[in-house]
Amino acid sequence: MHFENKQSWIKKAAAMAVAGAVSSIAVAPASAEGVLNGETIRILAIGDPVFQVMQRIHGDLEEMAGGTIELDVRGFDVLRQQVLLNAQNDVSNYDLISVDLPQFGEYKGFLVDLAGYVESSGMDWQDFHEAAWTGAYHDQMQLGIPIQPHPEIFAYRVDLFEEAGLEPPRTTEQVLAAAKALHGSKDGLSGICWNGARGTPLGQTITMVMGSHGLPVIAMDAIEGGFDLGNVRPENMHPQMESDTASEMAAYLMELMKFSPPGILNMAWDERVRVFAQGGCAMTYIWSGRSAIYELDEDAEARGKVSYLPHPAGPNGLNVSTLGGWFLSIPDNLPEDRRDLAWSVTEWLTSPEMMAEYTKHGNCVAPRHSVSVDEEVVARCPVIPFVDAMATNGEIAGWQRPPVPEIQQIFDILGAEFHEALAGAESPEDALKEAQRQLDRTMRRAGYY
Amino acid sequence: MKYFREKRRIAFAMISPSILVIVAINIFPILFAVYISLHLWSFGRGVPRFAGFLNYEELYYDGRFGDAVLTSAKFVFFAVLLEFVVGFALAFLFNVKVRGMATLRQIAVLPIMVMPIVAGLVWFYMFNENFGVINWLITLLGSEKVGFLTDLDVALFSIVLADAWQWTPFVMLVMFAALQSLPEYVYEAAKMDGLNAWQTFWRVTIPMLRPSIMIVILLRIVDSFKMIELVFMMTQGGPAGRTEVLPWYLYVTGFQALDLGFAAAMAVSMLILVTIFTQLFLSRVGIGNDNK
Amino acid sequence: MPRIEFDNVSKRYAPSSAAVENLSLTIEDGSFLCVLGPSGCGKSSTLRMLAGLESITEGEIRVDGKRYNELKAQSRDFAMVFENYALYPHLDVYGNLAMPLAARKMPRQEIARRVEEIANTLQISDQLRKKPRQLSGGQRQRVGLGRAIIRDTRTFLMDEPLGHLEAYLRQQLRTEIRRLHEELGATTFYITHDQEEAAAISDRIAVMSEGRLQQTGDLLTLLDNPVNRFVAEFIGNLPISILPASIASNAASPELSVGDARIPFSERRASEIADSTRVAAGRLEAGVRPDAVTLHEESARHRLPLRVSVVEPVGDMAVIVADGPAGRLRAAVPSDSAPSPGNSVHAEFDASRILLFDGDGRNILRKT
Ligand SMILES: Nc1ncnc2c1ncn2[C@@H]1O[C@H](COP(=O)(O)OP(=O)(O)OP(=O)(O)O)[C@@H](O)[C@H]1O
Ligand SMILES: [Mg+2]
Repeated sequence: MHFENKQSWIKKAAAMAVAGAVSSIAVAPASAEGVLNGETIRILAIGDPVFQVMQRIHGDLEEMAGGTIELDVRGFDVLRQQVLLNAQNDVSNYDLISVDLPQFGEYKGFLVDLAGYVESSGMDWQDFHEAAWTGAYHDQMQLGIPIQPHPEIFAYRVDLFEEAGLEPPRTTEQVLAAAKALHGSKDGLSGICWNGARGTPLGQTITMVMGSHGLPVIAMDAIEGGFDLGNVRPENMHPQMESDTASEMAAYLMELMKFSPPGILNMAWDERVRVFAQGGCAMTYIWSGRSAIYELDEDAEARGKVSYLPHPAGPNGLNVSTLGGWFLSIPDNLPEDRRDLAWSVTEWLTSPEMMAEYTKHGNCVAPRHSVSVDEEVVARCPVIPFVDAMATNGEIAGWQRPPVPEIQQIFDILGAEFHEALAGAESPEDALKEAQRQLDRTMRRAGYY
Repeated sequence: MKYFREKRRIAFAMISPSILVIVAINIFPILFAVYISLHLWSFGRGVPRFAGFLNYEELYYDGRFGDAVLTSAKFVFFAVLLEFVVGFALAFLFNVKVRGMATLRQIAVLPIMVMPIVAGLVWFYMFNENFGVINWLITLLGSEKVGFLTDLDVALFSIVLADAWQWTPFVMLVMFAALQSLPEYVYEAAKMDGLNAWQTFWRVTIPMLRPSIMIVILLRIVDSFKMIELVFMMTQGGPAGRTEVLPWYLYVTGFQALDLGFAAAMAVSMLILVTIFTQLFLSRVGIGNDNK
Repeated sequence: MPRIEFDNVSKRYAPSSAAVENLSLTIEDGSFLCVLGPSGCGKSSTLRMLAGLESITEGEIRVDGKRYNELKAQSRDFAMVFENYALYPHLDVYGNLAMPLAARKMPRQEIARRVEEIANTLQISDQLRKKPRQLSGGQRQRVGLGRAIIRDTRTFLMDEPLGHLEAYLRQQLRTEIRRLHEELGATTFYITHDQEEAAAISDRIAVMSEGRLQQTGDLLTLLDNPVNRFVAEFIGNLPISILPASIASNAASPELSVGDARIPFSERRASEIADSTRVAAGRLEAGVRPDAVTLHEESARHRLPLRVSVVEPVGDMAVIVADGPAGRLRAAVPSDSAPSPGNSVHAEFDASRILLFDGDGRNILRKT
């Protein structure tokens, strides 16, 4: 008999290797030009599209960079464990790590402030979407450079809406009305797809939908046009799941259940997009970059028939989409003499040219205004100008998923408890109450209050 | 006397490396888990803070832990029952001497070779309500789709089914080997003693297979108690926690929430549960002591 | 009650070769038949066909006139003692003895009573709680025997049941088996390698060779009146001597010539030979058992001159192995009058006990 923990960890590691993506890629011959100039760069990355694209064009990338690129691609949980472990080393094993937007709160203690590099290299930071750029700005430090940040937005089938004479849904009320009208109107057509699966997927849905109802899940400070994610103090950690906003959010999700496809209770991430792609639902919540799944697939029924909106607002809420996704950061246990190289590679990988390059291989994300107006890019990824417009209009924000160390626990508790309500095993009120209780306990345990 | 003491010293010197290895591999991680379980520690955030039995207390009051224990028990019970009954029956079927049986047997054990995580992925897609083959077939037959992974009353059994798909062949293989090793003469004796097929099965075959049966059941219980891959791939514990088995809850708290102290307390509790169970089981069935 | 008939029974495990061939044999109700034969001659195959453990390739086995070929072993109601004991390894002695009764759904107390009774008879009452592997060979054998006799049956099939035991135990148990046979009035089919045991225990002995039944009869018959050279050679404590021989029919009175010896025949024996049409076949062999030979120092016309090669003491007798131009001869003589190796001796045969075999090995002097 073994220590359970350890065993499942190993199993998980193996699992991730299969489920997500695999391993570092072998050395390629280094030429003496380009940003690497014969050197080797080591990147700890997430198994998300932009890095998967890098894996796919790895040979070309190395040729461009003139050096070796060691790209270790991991699944979400394993990546987080490795980042945290690596932070405890005296010397970092990686030059660059990929950081998810809500993780900055947890990681900020061991990341290098890049402000100086931005300034000295003359990086045009204003070209980045503001929400993306400031998403990595914590405690007056620029902790990462956006490489694949994209918002979770709202996609709907223009053709179906026009046919039924429906308005583009900017409010939750309109969503429900449209869902009701379209649900079952065609064989196999459901109203709306979303992340209903237990755990993290539903937990994220709740935080974001609660955000579009006007409140974050913890009591952050309200500021002009939103909440202050760059300055979360212990007294901000009180959960708000017994608020009126939480009840409105819960009611909305319970309503959505009626117009959701079969299997919604187990639906997450790409699956909802695939169902939407094959015409299984008329609307879907979607991470904008994932629109590539149907926009680049000639057989997809939804291809070319989709328009985009920010998250529909609740009765007292805002039309804001949640920004998420990935940044490149330098761990502060990286020796000084490697930091310049790390920065050069960061600058190169986040350059407009490279961002345009990524869109060629199925990554429909461009967090830079200059790339978002590139006609070729727009032709490949119709979603990009929509996102660019939302960014310009201030319809993208990051506070819905507060960047606090407990964010994963928050997702997990919300996603587990409210699943009881969605599945009909418990009333929504009870589920919220229980979630509040558990979150409160978690915060107390962590010593915030 | 002196000779024996000398001998014992040599013997001890000879086995001490293996004792060290056992301590390092088996004992140390357990002790470490116990140590962590007495602390508040979130991975990557500071040093462990001593907390006494706080984690265990929380475990005691944590309804989700209790639910997970029950779900695990249910899963283990149904999975092992199904795997054993079907595997045992198949072993008998395959024991018939017909041409081609050997090939059939080899095909039948293929699922064992599949990585559990891949099995989970395969069954996730089989059971999926939007892309799944099984639901597609069901609708072809004109029935309503079944929420294999979303119906409160069905989901756990879908996982049981996937587990059985993978591990029934293992039971079959072990039972088949055990059957093959039964001496022919015993059956001749049974015939001559006038036992009919039914009596032969219950009075000869089953008792003679008993050690193998017990081992295979024990292995399956312990192993299915540790099952996590299928839940990971298929339901993540849903719907409404109906498939949240202990290892999955442990994974969520330990490796997603990184609440290591709490997770370690859970791991230690799990270890104690399994140990008590296996000891009881072993002493009840009396493997290892012949003169019961 | 049961009368067992083998009617032209054959057994082939593979199409080409027969383990048992055209065997016909009747075992009368209440009789005790021993089957003797060299290893691999088909004894076990015969018994297993009778038991129903092996299919019958050709022919028919009848019990009390009823065809048994297709009858399942369970329904034949025979009790069997296996050569390798075949005890249930997972049951203790009690469980092993009780099994045939349990199979017949006998009440528990009744079973207990019977087991105790049998255990007493076989002197294994103090072993009842032991598993087979904790028993000695003899104890196991007795359990196997007990399991066969515990239930009411009239037919016993025993395949070398004492084969693995030492002489003393073997003698004890064979007495026991014979007693049981008598007591139960059973019909017994018994395989053994040991002709002394066969003689002691059985009413009748059947000799098999290469899948064929050679001859049945009591030991004396087999010794003095074997059907053929095989039986003559196989039966007998001391090996029979076989020497080339011919009939000197031109002499005044009939004479048998073996080497240089001219042995006169009695009128009656001579006429038996004359009757036999087989003599014409030409080559003949004489068979002489060691105890039908006397050794003399003086030569005579009817004596065979030989030189002693080996002297083997056997108790108060000695077997003298002597060679001559005609071949090798063995004689059993009292130890005190035994010659020494190298001595010249003259062997005289008891003419009434000489056996004569034709070219096919058949005994041409056989009395029927
Ligand atoms: N199951 C079997 N399959 C094939 N051949 C067999 C089988 N059983 C016996 N034989 C063959 O049949 C012949 C007779 O075997 P059998 O066991 O009847 O001999 P036996 O007289 O009992 O010999 P022993 O005295 O050594 O026990 C042998 O040549 C043996 O090899
Ligand atoms: Mg035999």
